Amino acid sequence: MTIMNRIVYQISAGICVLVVIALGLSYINPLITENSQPSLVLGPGGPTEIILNAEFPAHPAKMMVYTVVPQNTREDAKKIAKSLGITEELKEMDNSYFTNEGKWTFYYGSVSGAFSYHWFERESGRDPIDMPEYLPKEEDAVIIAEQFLKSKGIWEEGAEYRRTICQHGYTLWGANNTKQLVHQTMDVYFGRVFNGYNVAGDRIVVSIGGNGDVIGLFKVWRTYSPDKEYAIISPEEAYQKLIEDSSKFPVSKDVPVSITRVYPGYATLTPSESMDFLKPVYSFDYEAVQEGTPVTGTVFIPAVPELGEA
Amino acid sequence: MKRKMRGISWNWRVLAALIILISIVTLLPVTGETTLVSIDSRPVIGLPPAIPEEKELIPGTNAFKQPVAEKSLILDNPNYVITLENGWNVISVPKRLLPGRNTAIVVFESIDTAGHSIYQWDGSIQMWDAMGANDIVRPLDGIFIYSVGSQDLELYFDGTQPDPAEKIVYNQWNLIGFWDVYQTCARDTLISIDPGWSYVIGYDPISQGYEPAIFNSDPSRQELMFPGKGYWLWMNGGDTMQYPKAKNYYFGGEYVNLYHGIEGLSDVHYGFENVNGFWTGLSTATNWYGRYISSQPFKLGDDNAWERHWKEGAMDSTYADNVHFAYFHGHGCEEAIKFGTYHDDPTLSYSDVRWGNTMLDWVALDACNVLKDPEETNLWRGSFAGLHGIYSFASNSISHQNRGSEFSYYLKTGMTIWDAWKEAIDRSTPSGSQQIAAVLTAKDDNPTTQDCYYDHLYGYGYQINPPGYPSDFDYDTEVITG
Repeated sequence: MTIMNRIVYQISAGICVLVVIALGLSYINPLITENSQPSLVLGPGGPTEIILNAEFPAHPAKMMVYTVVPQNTREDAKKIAKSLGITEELKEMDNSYFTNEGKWTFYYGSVSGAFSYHWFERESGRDPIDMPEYLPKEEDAVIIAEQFLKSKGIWEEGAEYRRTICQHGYTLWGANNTKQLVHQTMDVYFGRVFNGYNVAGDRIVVSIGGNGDVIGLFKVWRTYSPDKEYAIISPEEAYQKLIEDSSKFPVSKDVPVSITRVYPGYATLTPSESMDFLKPVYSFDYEAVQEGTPVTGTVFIPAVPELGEA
Repeated sequence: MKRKMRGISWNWRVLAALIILISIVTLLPVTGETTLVSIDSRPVIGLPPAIPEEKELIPGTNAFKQPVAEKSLILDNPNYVITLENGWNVISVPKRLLPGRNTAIVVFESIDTAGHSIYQWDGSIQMWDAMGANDIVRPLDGIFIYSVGSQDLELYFDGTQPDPAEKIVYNQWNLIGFWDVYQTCARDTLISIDPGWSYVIGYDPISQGYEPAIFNSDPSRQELMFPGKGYWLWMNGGDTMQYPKAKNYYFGGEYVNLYHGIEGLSDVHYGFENVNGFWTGLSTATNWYGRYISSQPFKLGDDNAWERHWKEGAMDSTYADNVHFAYFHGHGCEEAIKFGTYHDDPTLSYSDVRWGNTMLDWVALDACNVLKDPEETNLWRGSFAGLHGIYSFASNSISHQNRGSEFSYYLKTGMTIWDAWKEAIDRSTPSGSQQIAAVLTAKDDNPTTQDCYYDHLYGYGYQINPPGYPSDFDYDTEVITG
């Protein structure tokens, strides 16, 4: 073997080894790209463009921070159940209370005091009365819901009607590949205004079925006590923070988001979480269109930095 | 030599055919009242034995040649009612009957059989056996009973549910009953005698003929068997049918937080919290256990969560289809759920899955848009191979750390699974956000039974077993605003 042949042979062998190593590495290691901030959306998340279509509001120099008054006791649960006409004994599991033995089911969560109340056969069923032709008009549904809440002592000062949403159930028939509406009810949604500010998260939702029957209820409405006033940031500063953390928007990647309103207020954690304080936030109402479907909602930026970003 | 072998083989075949023919002919005469065919086109080894012919029939009498008795006055409502149709019926009692109300004379005294005896089949000697007045009517025993017109047979169960039920079954024909009051597919009903069972045949009392046989192979074994009915069972060898008082159920799941930029997907939050919350919550549910695979909990995440664990023909029968309830958390879209590694294809498409043909009954896909709308949901129909339901979203799903634990909590309260999913999302939707919970559940073609839409967790309410490859579905959406 000549020297030249040996060199060619060694170079070829080296290339082969490199190719094998490269192939192996490409199989073992997934494609790594620059990591973005984790998203809360379980689809391709994070908008690429935020469009401000709202004026920055006048804002107070300070806002009150409230402490959350715990009311999540068995006695609270019993009291609410009684007012709703529940006669069955409440069962306890993991410090929460419920009954599902009667016509109405009742579930009271210990963490936030949120409770739900359902007429099982109607709200979770396929009763032919729960169809569009038997549902009340939206304005009548709101009256029915409000009257029901007041009659049961569930109504709250500061409850404010926001919207009515229809819920749907279908049967999908395979033989002719059709869908048939078999169930429709209405949810009347009341939000909360507290000392002049919106409290996002606190809500009362009344489900209404055919004949205007109230068939369900969900309520989370924490009790707050003033703690201390804090200076808040400006809406411009809040907007800047929002731009820096656009992953807050629960829409898919590349979907432009339009900010339609900016205002100071409060926002709660979910009903599954305990809260010690109700803290001021800037609320940004937004609109987007994702794959032809309008998406609306509100995201929040904490307005008192010294209380943390959560 | 080959020709000689073929000759011997042919002779054996003829001999076997003759033996079967003679055994059918000599077993018992066929009555004119019963149709013995209607088995589907697949081959069966032999027809079920014919009912004994009876000559001395007495109208207006029960099976014990007594005048039909008035129903005795019992204040309690019966636990179960079997409606007997005119002619022969093949029935069974779904549970042990109350002592004092469990003998043949008491159970059947008010049934006008026109004097026909009530028959069971002794599989040990392959012969009919007429029930005596004091014989105990037991679950798992199939019973041939004649009815003059339509009559209700009222049953009172022994509420103490003392022992597991067992029945020895023998080589060749057995006449068995159905245990429990909820329909179940043949695969699950007969799992204790698998793989020895070859096929079962039910009887349609309205047409007075046999139903198509259900074979021990897919997709046939996904067909349903029903409470209150009796079935002919063909066994290859003996075994014991066993129905424990308590059965064990399994759960598991996978999550992906880290996507490494695959397909442009961003990383997400709370996968571990959700799957672990679901796992921890169900761990305290009665008779529910987390699935361990090679001593590792099936609670895998990120680069250890693989498409093949959920894919038909890959490893789903060891992972996702090896539990009764599975939970996935990660990215999704109308056609697929997404994994974060190129170890396998990162996209698990609807066409990749056939869930339930091993074990999986329910799957929560905590991922965006999987059940976005009915038309799109049609895509997932083919994934139901024994699966009862998919619980997911018809919109973007907004991850929250408490969803898995909330879901398992409400499952244990006795809510339906769909209600528990809605409740969990109600309580874990961030303020100011809106998402649409969605469910897709199998329907059977029996309008008299409930559907999987109303399923509860095993041990916490009733559930309905679906046919293996349903064509019809229930589909609900619930808009939830935080």
